[in-house]
Amino acid sequence: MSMGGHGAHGRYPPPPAPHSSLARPVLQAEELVQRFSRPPGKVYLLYGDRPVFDLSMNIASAMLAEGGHVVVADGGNRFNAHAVIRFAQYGKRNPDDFLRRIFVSRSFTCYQMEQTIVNRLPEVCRKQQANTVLILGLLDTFYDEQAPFREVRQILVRVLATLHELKRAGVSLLLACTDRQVLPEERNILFTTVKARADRVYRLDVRPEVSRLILEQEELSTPIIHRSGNEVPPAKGGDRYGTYRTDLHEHHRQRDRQLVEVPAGTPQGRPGTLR
Amino acid sequence: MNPGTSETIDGYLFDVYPSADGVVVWLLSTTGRRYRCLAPFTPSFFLHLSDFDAKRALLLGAQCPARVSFNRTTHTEIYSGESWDVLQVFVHNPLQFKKVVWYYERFFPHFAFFNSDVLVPQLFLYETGLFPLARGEYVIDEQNHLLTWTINDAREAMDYSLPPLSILWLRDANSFVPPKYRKYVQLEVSYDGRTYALEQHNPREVLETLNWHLHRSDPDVLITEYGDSILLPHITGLAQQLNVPLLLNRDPHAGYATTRESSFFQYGKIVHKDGAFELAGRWHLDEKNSFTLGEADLEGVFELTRLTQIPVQRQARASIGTSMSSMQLSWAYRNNVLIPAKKREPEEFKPASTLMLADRGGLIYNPPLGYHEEVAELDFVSMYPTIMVERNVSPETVNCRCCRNERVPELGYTICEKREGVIPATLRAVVERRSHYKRLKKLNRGKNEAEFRKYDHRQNALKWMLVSCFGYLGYKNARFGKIEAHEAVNAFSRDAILRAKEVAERGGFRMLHAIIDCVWLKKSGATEHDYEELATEIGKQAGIDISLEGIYRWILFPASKQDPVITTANRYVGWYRHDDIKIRGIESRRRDVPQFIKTMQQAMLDHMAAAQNVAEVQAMLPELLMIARNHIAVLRSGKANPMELVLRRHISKEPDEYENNSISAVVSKMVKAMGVSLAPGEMIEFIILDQSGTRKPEKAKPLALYAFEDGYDIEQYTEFALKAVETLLFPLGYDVGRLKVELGVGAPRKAGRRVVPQDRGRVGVQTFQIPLFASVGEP
Repeated sequence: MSMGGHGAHGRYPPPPAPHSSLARPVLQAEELVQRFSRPPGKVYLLYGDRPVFDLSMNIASAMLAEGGHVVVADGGNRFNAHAVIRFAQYGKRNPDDFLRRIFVSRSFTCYQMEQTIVNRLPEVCRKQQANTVLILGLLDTFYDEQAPFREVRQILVRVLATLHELKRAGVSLLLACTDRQVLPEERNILFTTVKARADRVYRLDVRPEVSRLILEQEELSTPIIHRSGNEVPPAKGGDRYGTYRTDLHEHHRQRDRQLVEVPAGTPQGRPGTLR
Repeated sequence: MNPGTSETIDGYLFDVYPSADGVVVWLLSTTGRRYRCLAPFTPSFFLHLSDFDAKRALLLGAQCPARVSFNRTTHTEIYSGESWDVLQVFVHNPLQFKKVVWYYERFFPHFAFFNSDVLVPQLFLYETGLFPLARGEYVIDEQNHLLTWTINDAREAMDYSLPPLSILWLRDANSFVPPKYRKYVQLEVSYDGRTYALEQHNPREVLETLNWHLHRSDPDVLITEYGDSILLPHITGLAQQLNVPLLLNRDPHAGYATTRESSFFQYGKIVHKDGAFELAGRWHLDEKNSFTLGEADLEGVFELTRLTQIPVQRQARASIGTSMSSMQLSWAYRNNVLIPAKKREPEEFKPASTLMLADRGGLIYNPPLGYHEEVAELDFVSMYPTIMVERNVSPETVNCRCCRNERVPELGYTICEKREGVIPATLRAVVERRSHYKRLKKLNRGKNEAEFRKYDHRQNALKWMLVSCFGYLGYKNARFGKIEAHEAVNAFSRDAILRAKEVAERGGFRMLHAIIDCVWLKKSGATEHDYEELATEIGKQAGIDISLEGIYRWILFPASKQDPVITTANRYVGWYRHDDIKIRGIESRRRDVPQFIKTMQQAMLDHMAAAQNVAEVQAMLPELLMIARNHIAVLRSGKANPMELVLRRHISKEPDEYENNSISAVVSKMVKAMGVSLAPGEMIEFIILDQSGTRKPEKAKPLALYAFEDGYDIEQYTEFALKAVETLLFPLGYDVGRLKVELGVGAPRKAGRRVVPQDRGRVGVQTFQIPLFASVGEP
């Protein structure tokens, strides 16, 4: 990893970090930024201590500095517009311009998160021609005990399937979440599942003396998960979910959709003809 | 009744709960008879599926845990307003309704389910249009099957009659320490104006005596304190152990309906809620586990139960959100609208620039520090509910798919012009009812005390609904909620208060302070009439009524505890010209301040009632210091009543989870060592013995273990007192440092300053001898 004194894009050295302990990871994060920006179409996971979200905001800001649009699905109320403003100001750019090109939606339940990612995200990426997506705290809402574990696993299958569809469509996705053990313990498998499906996994290790960004997992030949979700074993008693969309009430939006809709009863691997 | 005949009962619907063949309905006749009837009812839910999966659902019905039948029908989806084809699944055993839903949830995802997580009694009431306490003529057959009914009442009625109810109170005879924190209790029952202590030493005798009282009085309502968490679970547990059948239920065929206690986050705090212990055919209401009962008495519970169609026992324990939600569900049933099993409508993607603009609350103008005179307070009348009702703010109407009008100020969100939203439709009745009851309350003030109290309770119950309705709109689990609707209400409120400011300033008034829906204005020489005229003008401009709350003789905006040069928005105190005092946020109103400190501050404020202006307040300074000095002298002599020094805190975790040595940690561990298990969010009551913990690790003692000879930490309580005095006198130049000098309490803390007063006898659990909850055979 480069240890240079400037950020990934020369003109944009990293802005003053809100936490002093973050300074090093931001500098070390050049490779992550570079790899993430080109070529498009990947799913990266960045996890670790809490500053992963500050780092994510800086990565998003770096993408905005390149002139594109960024879409953020926020499951942990982690989006920080002020970090974007600071980054823009540091690079002597117009913060309003940055803020107008970053699109945010916050979710507070896993059901909302599913709706955001599965139904709204593909549409907003297409509409805004954005090929960079940040998903902050993807699993935060999935740890809510009010949501039955069986249901949560099914939702994660549908969410991951959508993320990989987006990846195939040329969108780069960065999933940022904190590293934590949750209770009940069975829910920890959710994180393991997300990790296993990421192309690259980075861990941010923040310590008082030195902070490190560690590449934990290189590209894996991860098979694409179909909407049927067969790659992740269904929960006990679970069954097929391939024919369901969560935006049942949004028929008008489905008309514009680029994604292939699989009609009921279609055998796997033979998508239907509806477009 | 002869076979084949029917009987018409003129009476009230008392209770509803499910049974295997429908629902059990209890009726109270006007002649005083109670009827247990069975109403046939088949609850149903809906599945929105493709044709293929709908066929699959039919096939799956064969293996369902209860008999089901199906119907294809059409209902409306709320956000789009479209008609959807849905499969209605009827469950022929209402007791198995949940199981059938769970069964289908194994095969279909959550977003295919509608109307599936509503309780059966509520489904029955929504579908039939009945409501608890509905007065009518109910026809039953000889087997007590409810055949038909004619309701001579209306859910919307504001003038209604209630059945005469017999009440039995069951509580712990010792109110000093709540039974939650004790191992032994002494029960007492009260009815017909008499109280009986259950003093038997044998647990079996206690239960039999309780049975005798229940049989004798046959109450409609059993009111307890801590009945949900302690009394009834222990009494029934003991009855089971001793094999003594209890007469708690009026319905001998039914069991008890219980729910588990829970701890949850609410506005960043952990809150604890006791489980419920509901009876069949008789209401059990726990005064300590019912917000509505505490705030608005039985009258308030009855008002809400009629409006929300939630049976009384559940309504009494329901949160305000649940009550509002029930009104919305009822509306959905009446309008054939599908109720999603899970809320999933997320925030719309919006540019961060819009998010920064939208994600804000109401407007606050910080007030200038110190005492002020000739200040008037004007309050918008039910501002947020009025905005929601009048502007048609609802999840499905904000940014609807049919209109484009950018009606929401600043944000440019659209509000639907074609249909009224579920929130305004349900909230309108609440706003109107409360206004009506407030009028009646005013009419009866000083004339008819009973009527005055009745309408006060009713309006108070509704008030909390109006207070909560806005927050509920943004609540993550609100059935019909949406962030954009929440943001729109805030935007309208900011707009209204800015208009108020403009109008006031045009009239020569100065805005001193504003908090969301109140403004504090000042103009030299302005009369009440001037402010009334101003209020009328603001109301016209802002589109929301605003009323003059009063003109203050003086008002104090105290300094922030964090920074002495600024004020905080929610702390002030002042005396109105009409001799009322208004206190917000300062010690005498806070729940976490010991009574002794509150009493001292209140004494100072009472003395200040005579001051007509700020100069007179200043002139009272010597007397105010004297009041403080006298109270602090009592504290420092060690003669303060320790019961007035009790502090209350909610613990945020289980006792064993505390890693530090804070007072909460120490006290909760001591309570646990007593054998009392505390859950996060539960309250502890204690007296500080040594805040520093230098002399003893036991910094404080829980009330249940406290004895007078334990004394209290004089220095710590003196500190509390000085801070309360500082709140009032800081603007007059007295901070804690100067007060210490002035009041002669500057001596440093020394070891051994804890005062041990004369022995006044031990208090606490040890004096109570009835071992009701000890295991059988224990002395």
